[in-house]
Amino acid sequence: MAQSTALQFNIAAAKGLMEVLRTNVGPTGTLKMLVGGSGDIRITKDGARLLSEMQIQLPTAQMLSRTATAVDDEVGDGTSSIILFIGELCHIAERYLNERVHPRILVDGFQLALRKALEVLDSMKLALPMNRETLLGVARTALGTKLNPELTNVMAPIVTDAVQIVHRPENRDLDLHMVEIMHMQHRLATDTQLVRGLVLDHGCRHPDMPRRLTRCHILICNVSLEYEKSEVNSTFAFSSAEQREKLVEAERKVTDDRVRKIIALKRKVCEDGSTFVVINQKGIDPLSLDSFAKEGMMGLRRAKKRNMERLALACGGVCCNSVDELTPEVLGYAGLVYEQTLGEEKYTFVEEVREPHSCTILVKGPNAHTIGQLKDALRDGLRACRNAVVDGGVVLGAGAFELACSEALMTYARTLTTTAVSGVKAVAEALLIIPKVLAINSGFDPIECLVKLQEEHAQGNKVGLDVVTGEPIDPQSGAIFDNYVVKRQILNSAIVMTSQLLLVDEVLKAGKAGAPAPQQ
Amino acid sequence: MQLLKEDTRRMMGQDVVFKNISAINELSAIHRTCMGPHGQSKLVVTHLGRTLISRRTSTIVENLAVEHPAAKLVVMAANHQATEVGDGTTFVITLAGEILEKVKPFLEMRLSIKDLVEGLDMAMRKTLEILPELAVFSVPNVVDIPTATRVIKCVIGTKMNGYEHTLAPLVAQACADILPSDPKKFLVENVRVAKVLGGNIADSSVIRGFCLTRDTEGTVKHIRNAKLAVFGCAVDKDEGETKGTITISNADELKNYSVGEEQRMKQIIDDVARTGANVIVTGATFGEIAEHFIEAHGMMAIKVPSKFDLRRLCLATGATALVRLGAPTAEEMGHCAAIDAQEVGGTRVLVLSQEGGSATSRISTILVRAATQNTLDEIEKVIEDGVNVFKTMTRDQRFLAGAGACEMELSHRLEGYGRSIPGLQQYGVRAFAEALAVVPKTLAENAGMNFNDVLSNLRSAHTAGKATWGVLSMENTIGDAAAAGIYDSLLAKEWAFKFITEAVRTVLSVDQIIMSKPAGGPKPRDQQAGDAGDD
Repeated sequence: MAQSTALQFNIAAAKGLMEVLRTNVGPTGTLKMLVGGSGDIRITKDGARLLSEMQIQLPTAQMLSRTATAVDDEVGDGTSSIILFIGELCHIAERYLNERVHPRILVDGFQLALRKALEVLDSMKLALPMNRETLLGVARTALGTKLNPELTNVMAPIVTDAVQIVHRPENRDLDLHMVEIMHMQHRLATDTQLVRGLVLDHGCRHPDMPRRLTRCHILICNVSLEYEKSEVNSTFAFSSAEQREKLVEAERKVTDDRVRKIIALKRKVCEDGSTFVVINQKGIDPLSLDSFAKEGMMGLRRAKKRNMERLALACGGVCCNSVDELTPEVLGYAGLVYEQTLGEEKYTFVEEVREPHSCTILVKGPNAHTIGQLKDALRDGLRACRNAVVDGGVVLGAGAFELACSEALMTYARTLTTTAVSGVKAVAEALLIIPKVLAINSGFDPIECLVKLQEEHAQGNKVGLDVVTGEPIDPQSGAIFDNYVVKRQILNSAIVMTSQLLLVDEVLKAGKAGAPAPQQ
Repeated sequence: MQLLKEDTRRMMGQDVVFKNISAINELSAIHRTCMGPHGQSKLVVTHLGRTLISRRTSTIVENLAVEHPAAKLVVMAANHQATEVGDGTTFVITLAGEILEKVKPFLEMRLSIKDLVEGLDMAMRKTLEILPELAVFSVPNVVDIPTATRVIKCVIGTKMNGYEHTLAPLVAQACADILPSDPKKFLVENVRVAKVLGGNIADSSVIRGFCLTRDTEGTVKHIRNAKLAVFGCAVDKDEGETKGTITISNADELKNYSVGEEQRMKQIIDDVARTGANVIVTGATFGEIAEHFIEAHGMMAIKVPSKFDLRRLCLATGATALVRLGAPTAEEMGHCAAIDAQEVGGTRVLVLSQEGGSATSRISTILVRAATQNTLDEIEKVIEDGVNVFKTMTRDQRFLAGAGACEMELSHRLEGYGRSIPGLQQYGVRAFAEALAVVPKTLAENAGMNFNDVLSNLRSAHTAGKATWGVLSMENTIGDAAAAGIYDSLLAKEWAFKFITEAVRTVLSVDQIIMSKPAGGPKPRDQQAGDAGDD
């Protein structure tokens, strides 16, 4: 393809992708329904989810969507914003290109603008104390763009509490894996709750085990409590039924000894009437389960490895790899352990723990797509909170940053004397797409809103767009906070991507391997 | 320019909403005629070629293989209603369709979806507020069989009209028999249904206990006052996990080996027999030698191959399943008043009943007789619905006036509420209120009444404060539904409203559908396109 065609092709692709994602930006955006190959339904507003499941074929669009999803993998948010920003930047660049500005000159301007924009971003970073209130604002902002307001109000405190539980001030980073997200398909999405403790997606496998225990000692272990075959190929010879009987007995002995040791510990610690729960990463065979059941203990087998870590953090205690040196110190504690059955599925709740450093968000929803949507949103909400904690600061949302940055770039452009000024101006204009789209999706006139915002801004106020009224608001008082690191990523990636797209002058497509003739 | 993969279909803009609405309306039109005691059945031929005739929405929906994604959303809502309360699925589909239908003109007038959805939400919140006020009947004591029967009759009557007088007492009896001391712990799965082909529905009966459709292993077929030793493992010689080889070096050893095994088996069975047990149950298999000794002791041998059935048998008899062969202790043994192997309509049935016995069973079984397999399956489902109603009764004893009375009253009150709202949301509320009238309308329509007359008469009745007036389709008139004993569970209605709003909200707020190419074999493309066009 010739130079101008290639450029047009790329720009058209970027704009096309923007058109797809435009309607779901912001709290008032609409939903998209994705129907998979087998007829499964997914309903989402999440840009990352959409891009990864849309099966995009166009090479340019594919490249853009990969960049955008990479950003999502990195910081957990901002996918739609990037696509919007790139699309708009291409759109504006097209105008300059039509006026015979060379792409290289534009790109130079982009680089200058990027440097300046990052400076503005740094200056706008608000180092708020990371207390519950701030985090709640961050969570609400992140969730609000993915869920409806009712759900946002339920989820935001859940996310905030979860983050605060797993956050340890001594660590700068925050391990979000320690928040388990478990789902149960029943009731309504608004019944989603935070469990201070852990929910395991399996139950005990013995009919006579207690289904509910209070004041529980919890043994977290990784010890096989079932017969294990020897590594070498072995066989036994016997000549009478008694010998056979002995063999069977001896076979059991290894496992039985281990079980006996655990039971001995149980008897020791449970003299005061407390109870005992064994959670094993390896298997427990029916006979061992039976022994536990007779002692009134609960035994869970084949727990997830990650859950073992979470358990240790949630209940205290140490994960044991051998039963030889069991002491009461290795035990964790939970005030309540119970099993809940939902149709065929069983769930075990470990609750009322003393000082949890791990917790579970129990997602509920009547169908798979609601649960999927919630899980995606929760993940983003958690990531946003984590980003805020790690950054140690936030940026004003609701388009406030974009507006301020755009204005700053415009002022900057006036000080420039090189040809790069056109690139800087383009970036400044393109940034405004965010408040504009927010206005459009909320049913307001974008130009009118923008003028109002700019007027307020000119008076030195930091303002964003209120999606309910269409009037300027102060994002800080409304606790609308975006992540610093996300904005940084958006600026960086979007500008780099657009620069690359504009500098492409030829698109060559290899013929399909194995195809009889190269397709046109 | 092709942005997406080939064969991916993409629908955008407001058209999507309209298309979705018409798809859902089609679905709702199918189910509308099933509503009420005069509802009609559907004959569905499934994709496997099986024919079934049913009036239960969940059965129909299950076998309809709905393709359209938006319609699927409503089907899902109905399914959740079925799993959550087990009743009210027709209501969900009908009302969801009707609400969307009523919303459509507003969409055509370009009212923003945001305002409409807000309005619907407000209407729904108001509905949940009003509903408890409309409760007219409460079941004070769920064990009271006549009251329970009355309520269950309403549900069964709408699904299998004519059989409710036979089935409802059975269901009430079966449920009440096993109601635990804490009624909230009532488990639907503890009411079993045993289906035996042949005979008549009137021959159906309740067994206080458990019923297996298989024979005993030995020759002992009847036992009174049974004591059961239940083993989860096989009643056979012990097999180790490790491979063993028997090495025999001389003739004596060969002779003695099997003798030794027999001795051991005899020992075990003797031990079990000594405890007083006269029935041995296994979840696995009986060894031949074991069977011989069991027979010798005159004990009954029962094989229960399903792990779950074994667990139920334990629940029914109060036994504990042992995992190792050996004599059970007195607590571990189960008791049963009578175990009988019978032949019912050519099927071998093993009945473990507790009647007259001291121990009470935690399981009860309804033995259903009917002439065709289809009817049997249908009755099983209907019984399930009945049991579910009983479960809702244990959770929430409040009931609303049925026969469209509570919908009419809600509609009446919401209209007033809608008028009091100043903003654009009032249109959503009004659409909701108007849509509610679909229930009495459909009931009247299905009963062959002139629905226009019925509706206007009902409206004036409700305006006059007769809040419990509904369509008495059996009498072909309108009247006081509460007095006629027609009730709907409050809990079921509440859930239904929640699921409906959820589904409607989702359908309305989707503005793009992206469908990827259906997986699986290459279907003819034009047929696919045809499907989409029809929706």
